[in-house]
Amino acid sequence: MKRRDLLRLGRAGAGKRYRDRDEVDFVIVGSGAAGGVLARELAQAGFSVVVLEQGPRLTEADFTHDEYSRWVQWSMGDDPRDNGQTFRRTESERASVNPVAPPAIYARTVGGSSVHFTANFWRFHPSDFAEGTLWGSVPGADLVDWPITYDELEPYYTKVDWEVGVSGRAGANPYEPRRSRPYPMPPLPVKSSGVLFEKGCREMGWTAFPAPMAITSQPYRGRAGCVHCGFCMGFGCEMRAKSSTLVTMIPEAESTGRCEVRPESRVVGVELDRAGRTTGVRYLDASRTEHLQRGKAVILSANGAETPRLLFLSESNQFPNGLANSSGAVGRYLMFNGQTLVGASFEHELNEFKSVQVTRVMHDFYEADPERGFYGGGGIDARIFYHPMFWGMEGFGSRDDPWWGSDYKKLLREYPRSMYVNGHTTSLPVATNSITLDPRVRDTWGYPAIRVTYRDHPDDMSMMRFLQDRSVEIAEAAGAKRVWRHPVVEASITAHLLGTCRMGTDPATSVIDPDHRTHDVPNLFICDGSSLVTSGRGQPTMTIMALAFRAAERIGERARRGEI
Amino acid sequence: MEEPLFGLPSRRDFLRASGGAVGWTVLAARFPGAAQASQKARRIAAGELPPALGFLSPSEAAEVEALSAFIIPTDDTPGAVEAGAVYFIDGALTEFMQPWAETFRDGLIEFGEDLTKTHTGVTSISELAEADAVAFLRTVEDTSFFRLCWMLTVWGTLADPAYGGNRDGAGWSMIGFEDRHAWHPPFGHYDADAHGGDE
Ligand SMILES: Cc1cc2nc3c(=O)[nH]c(=O)nc-3n(C[C@H](O)[C@H](O)[C@H](O)COP(=O)(O)OP(=O)(O)OC[C@H]3O[C@@H](n4cnc5c(N)ncnc54)[C@H](O)[C@@H]3O)c2cc1C
Ligand code: SF4
Repeated sequence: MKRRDLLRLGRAGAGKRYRDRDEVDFVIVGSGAAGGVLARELAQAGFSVVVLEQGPRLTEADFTHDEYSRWVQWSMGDDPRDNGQTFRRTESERASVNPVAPPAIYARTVGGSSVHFTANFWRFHPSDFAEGTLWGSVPGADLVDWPITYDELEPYYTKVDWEVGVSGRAGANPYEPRRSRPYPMPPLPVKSSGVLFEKGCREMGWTAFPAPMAITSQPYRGRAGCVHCGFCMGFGCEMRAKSSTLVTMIPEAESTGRCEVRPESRVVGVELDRAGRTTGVRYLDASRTEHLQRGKAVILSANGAETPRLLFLSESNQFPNGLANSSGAVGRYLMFNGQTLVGASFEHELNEFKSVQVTRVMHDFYEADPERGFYGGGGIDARIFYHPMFWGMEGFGSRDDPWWGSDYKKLLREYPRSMYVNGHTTSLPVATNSITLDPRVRDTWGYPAIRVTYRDHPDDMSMMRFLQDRSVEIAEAAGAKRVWRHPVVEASITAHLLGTCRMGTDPATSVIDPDHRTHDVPNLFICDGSSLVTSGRGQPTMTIMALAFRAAERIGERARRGEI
Repeated sequence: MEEPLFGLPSRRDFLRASGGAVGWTVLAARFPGAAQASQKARRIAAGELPPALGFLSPSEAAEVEALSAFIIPTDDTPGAVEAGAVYFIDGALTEFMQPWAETFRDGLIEFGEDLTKTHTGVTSISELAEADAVAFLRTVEDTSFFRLCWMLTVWGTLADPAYGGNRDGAGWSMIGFEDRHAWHPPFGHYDADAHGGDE
């Protein structure tokens, strides 16, 4: 046996092993933010569960601070060169591969993108669930209410806080939605960027508050506290301090003895019998041999890009436009969340490369406001945005800045005195922004690649510009010596994959019901970023996990009542 | 297509880096030998192997090194030369960027020809007075070759020392970055008085 295989065996979880032909209660596709929670909840509730994850099982020992391996060699299995994703701005264009970076960025590994995410964990506000009513319709978009309210989701947000592990200070955000319990851990220590951001906000009459982060600020549930190494965003945490599902939900699922997480198992199709029920999924193992894992029910948690792709790959005579797609909504309403970036350098050192990316946030512009003349809302945080290599590549924003020679070097040396003010905004659900199968390009497994079609709605662009202006004001009020804007442009890359199998009560306009059951296939469920009806204001993962806790409870109840 | 996102390169800057088609292909490539490359570089970094050239000849390496010195110059702090960026570049061309090595060499030859065309008898950028050299480089800064050289110099100065450049972390210390496993507050000047509350 090769060393690599031995290592992999050694890393396979301690959980139960099932055979393909064992008909388990639930087959879950994807072990990311949502899949990890569902696995743990359903296994703890007594069900037998197999989680199929296309990526390997990485551990702390695999994680480094190596930017080059992360972003050039794509060490988290997110290499754009083997999944072949294509991008186009509008439906009339021919999509092409961006060989430098995939349009839909996510980690292919046990734990999914919760492993390498930044861990900003904002709850949505009550308004996020009701903007169809509160705001009304927006031309060119389908802004509708969610079929559930904030109050219905609140207990599950609290579960995320306590069971996954979030640090923060209750009551510090003046716009904070009702919470039934405080945070289980105090906030992480404030950084210089946070202090300066607080000052800037105070001068402007706004309120900065300690960032809620899915990171341990002290030892928590058997995990160490964060040691402030500074490499959260884009990297795996070597300390198990970042509350990814890899170090929280998944080991707890496995320790029930009822759950197997099977890495390097790439699902390529959902099986359907003549009665229109799913019987399991087809997947390729590491040697690309095809297997069929049987299950009484299937839950897709493969994320907002891969879940719709799987449904399209699973088309059949019964579902010629893709499985569970009688509504035509599968793959549509893709939402990226907008981002704006303002750099600022100060007289003294901040040393932003130390500790977690963000320690202060503000929500003064969270709510949409008709006075602005367009729909949208957002939050702003203070952070480090670049580690050294990409600081050198593009830290200064403007094309007119010196980019070689002694003036360039002077800018390079501003590194420890610099920070960013980062805006996060709404994206409207637009039917033509979508995930579809590319008709020409295939991934290295031979399957049609993901094709992303995306153009920010004009209101999204206005909101981004608005928030960038506010960010500049904060930086200046904080006393920055130099402030620079990174251009606000239409997005073509995202790490937020939302809305592509939206939830709703009407089977004609939505893919899943409020319990995450597909309207079309009674024992097929979907729960991940694709379930979201609206985008929130960035930081969607807290909500994705809360939905997963809620979904597990509803699905489990139905299963127990024999309703699946 | 120009937004930066989560520390990822924007297209604008990859274009800036690589000047169009050549760079795109370079980056589009799989880098099959990357693991070995880093092993060799690790051993060099650990002092187990002498820094040695794989692809570039000594005179080519000297020219690339001279060029890198204009990109990130040495003054009272180290620049690309002290960081050994040329070893990163050579390593890349020897191994994971090997399919583009000849294209790089062609670019270097063309660069030399342009130089001689504008400055009779001159064969190396280091023969020019600094102001003349900078003026000449301004005229070629939009070439694929210069932009690729720029990108590799930046990487060779600021990437992890395991890849052969950024020797002893010289590039990192030049910009004021330090890679450590753990830090303690206070982190910087402005949070010096902020600790002691409930955080
Ligand atoms: C660098 C970065 C920073 C981020 N920072 C933040 C942040 O600060 N705050 C925030 O809220 N969000 C952040 N995000 C976004 C966050 O990571 C995602 O919103 C979240 O992980 C999505 O959860 P999910 O369950 O929908 O999908 P994922 O976490 O992506 O999980 C999907 C899993 O399914 C697997 N899979 C897919 N297809 C198949 C298949 N066919 N067969 C088997 N397995 C499959 C994937 O490999 C993956 O493991 C960040 C993302 C990135 C990339
Ligand atoms: S800063 Fe803390 S949470 Fe982030 S990677 Fe380092 S130890 Fe983990």
